[in-house]
Amino acid sequence: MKTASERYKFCLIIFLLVFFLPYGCKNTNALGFEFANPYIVEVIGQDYEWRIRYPGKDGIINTQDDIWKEENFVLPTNTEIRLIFKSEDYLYFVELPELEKNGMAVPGLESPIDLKTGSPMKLQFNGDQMCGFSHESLIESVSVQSKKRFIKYLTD
Amino acid sequence: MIVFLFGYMFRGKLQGVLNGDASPSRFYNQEMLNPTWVNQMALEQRNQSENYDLFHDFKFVDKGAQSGIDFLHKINPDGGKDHKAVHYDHGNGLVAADVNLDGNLDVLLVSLVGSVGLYTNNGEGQFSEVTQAAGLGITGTKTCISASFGDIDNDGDPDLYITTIRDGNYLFENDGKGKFTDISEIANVNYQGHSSGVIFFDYDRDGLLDIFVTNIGVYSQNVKKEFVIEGEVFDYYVGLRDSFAGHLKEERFEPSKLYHNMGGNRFEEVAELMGIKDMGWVGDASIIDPNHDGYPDLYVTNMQGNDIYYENNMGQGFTDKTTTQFPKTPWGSMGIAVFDFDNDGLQDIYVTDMHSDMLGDDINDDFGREKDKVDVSRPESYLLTEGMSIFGNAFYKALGDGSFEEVSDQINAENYWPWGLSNADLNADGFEDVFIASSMNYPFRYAVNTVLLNEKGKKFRNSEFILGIEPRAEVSKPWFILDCSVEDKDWRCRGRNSEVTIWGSNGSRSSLIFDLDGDGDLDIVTNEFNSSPQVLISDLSNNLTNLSYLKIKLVGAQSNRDGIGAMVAVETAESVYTKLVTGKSGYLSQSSLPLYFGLNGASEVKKILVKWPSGIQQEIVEPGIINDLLIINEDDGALNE
Repeated sequence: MKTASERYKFCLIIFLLVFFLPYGCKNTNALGFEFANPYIVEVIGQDYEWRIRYPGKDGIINTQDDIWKEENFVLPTNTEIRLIFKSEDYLYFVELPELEKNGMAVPGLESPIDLKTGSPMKLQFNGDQMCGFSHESLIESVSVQSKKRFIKYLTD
Repeated sequence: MIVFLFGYMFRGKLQGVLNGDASPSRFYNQEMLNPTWVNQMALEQRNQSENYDLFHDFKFVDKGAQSGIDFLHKINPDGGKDHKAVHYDHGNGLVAADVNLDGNLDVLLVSLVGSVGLYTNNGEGQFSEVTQAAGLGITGTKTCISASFGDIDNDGDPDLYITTIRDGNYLFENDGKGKFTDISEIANVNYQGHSSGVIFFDYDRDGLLDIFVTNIGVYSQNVKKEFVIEGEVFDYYVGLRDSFAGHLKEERFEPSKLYHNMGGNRFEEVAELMGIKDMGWVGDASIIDPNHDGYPDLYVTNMQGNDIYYENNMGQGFTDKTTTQFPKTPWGSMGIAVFDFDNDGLQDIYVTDMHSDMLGDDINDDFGREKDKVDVSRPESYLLTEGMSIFGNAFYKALGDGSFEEVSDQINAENYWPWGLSNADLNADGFEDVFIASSMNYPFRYAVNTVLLNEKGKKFRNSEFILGIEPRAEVSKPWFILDCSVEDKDWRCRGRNSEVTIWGSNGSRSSLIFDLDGDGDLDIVTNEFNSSPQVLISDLSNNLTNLSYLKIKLVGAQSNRDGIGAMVAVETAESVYTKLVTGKSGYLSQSSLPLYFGLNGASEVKKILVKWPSGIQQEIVEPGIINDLLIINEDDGALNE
């Protein structure tokens, strides 16, 4: 660093990094998202679509602050997760082929699949109506994202 | 590219692809219309048959169009336009008996929608429709499932029980001339529920046939919907969307009914009193007698869970001995047949399993997997059988001490998408063969009916192609029309704005094997789902120079007149052939048919032994009859017709 100005800029960057980056993380954490172990997510079949129910800030499923998603299926990285499959109408088969996991979504029944996520990745998620039509809308992918991005996804 | 995408989207379930320019109003799947894999299967079977150690140089030809049986099985919208996974596609049965006592075996077919069809036989394979004249036209207002013939009053004519869905079951009394009177209500057997199969048997050996009715469970809503077929208006109870979870919901159970015959055509329902409390999704049943005490026991098939075996306590009640007698059973059982596979004098049990095939991956083009058991990785919370299920057909070989060994894979008894089965000696070589009615329909791909010829009691050999039964003339047909302009517009229209014809695969549900044309060999009649029956005429009698057989009709006196529950052994110089008279004749059904013993070319019968349900043992030495019908009367000894 040749000049005082450069030294100043460097110190400013370090300052920002030292104080604001943790503050940023803390800010994220300050959103209040707890991650229970296992982190429970409900996947509900209805009208040949999947509806995903995530815990809210309290990290507990089936409370008032639960977050519903229908468009994408996202999970956090490096987390023990329990997917609980349910159905509001038909019976659906589910499969996570890369993880060699199979399950079912059955009205009146809660069918869990336990898994552990690692690094960010995409997983195939196949759904199929039992003894009926196959529907494109039941076949999706699961996006495993960093917790920060995952929380952003939940809060968007 | 479009074909590929749709193929991926629907995988094994052939909802279809558009045939764009060639036929703009058609909506179908190329594979369904032109299943080249069927030809490949046929070629492989023909090659393999060169190593078969059994007689197969004969053929069946479908003469349905010439037979006079113009029956058309019809379905409600839950199997078509409003398709959902519901048990309406499980029917329907067909049965045979000599209803007018003219010496010829007549046929009754059941449709899900519209009347049953009764066809009388002129003895040479020509049939005439007599449904209305016989008093059976009234069934047209109900959703019927299956039927069985049995002589409830021992007056020598076959009476008729018909099961329905929520419309009340029927019992018809025959007047001896083929005219039936509805006595359901007065007989106290008109259960209203989701009934399935029915068998006649005499559980207390009092000489009167009792009735056992299986009920699946509640699979329809309390919502009726009207629909029109060829201008005629019908209605039905719309199926539940989660009927395949019914076995998890006790409130939907409908236990089987056991009607004790009190005489005078009056019955008393005694299932619970007699210890029969099946709380499952049961569909079919057969009598068996593994402990050889002469009291008919019951094997009841469960289509969503494990089967149930009830041991008969000397006519005083039944005890569920499933776990000790049959620790593992098929998870999705459909049909059952009881016969002596290897002529060791013991009655073996063959159970087909459709629903396990539905729990596994779709088998699309890997047809070799049709012979495999299913790899089912479904949660125990759904299966509820604690790991004690077989995911595919079961064949229980009797060991003689009352126990059984499951040998389905050793003897090649597996197949794909089976419904009910019929057993009979198709090539008259003295070993019982099997016809398994198979295939799903819309929106699934086609699957072949299975014919298993018995190779000297060692294993079954697939023979449906070499016998001309497959490939059938048409593997698919137009199933329904969608009006995509307004009324039916949904995802299946794919942007179309006009009428679109949706095609579906053909598939059989039940079969009936008997000599319908009196030429000495066994023919096959099927009941198809949403289509006309096949009448498969055998030419064995023209191709087997030393064809020998004996048909036996039992006429009980102290025992029930049909001889249900009797054990008959026919001895030739070469072997002894043993049959338990169960009356079972296919899926969900029981007929009044003579026993058919193929005698493998034997020129004479040395001895016949009949163990009647009454306890009487009747021995007929050198009856002096062959290639004919022998009537054995419990009182009078043998009488050659």
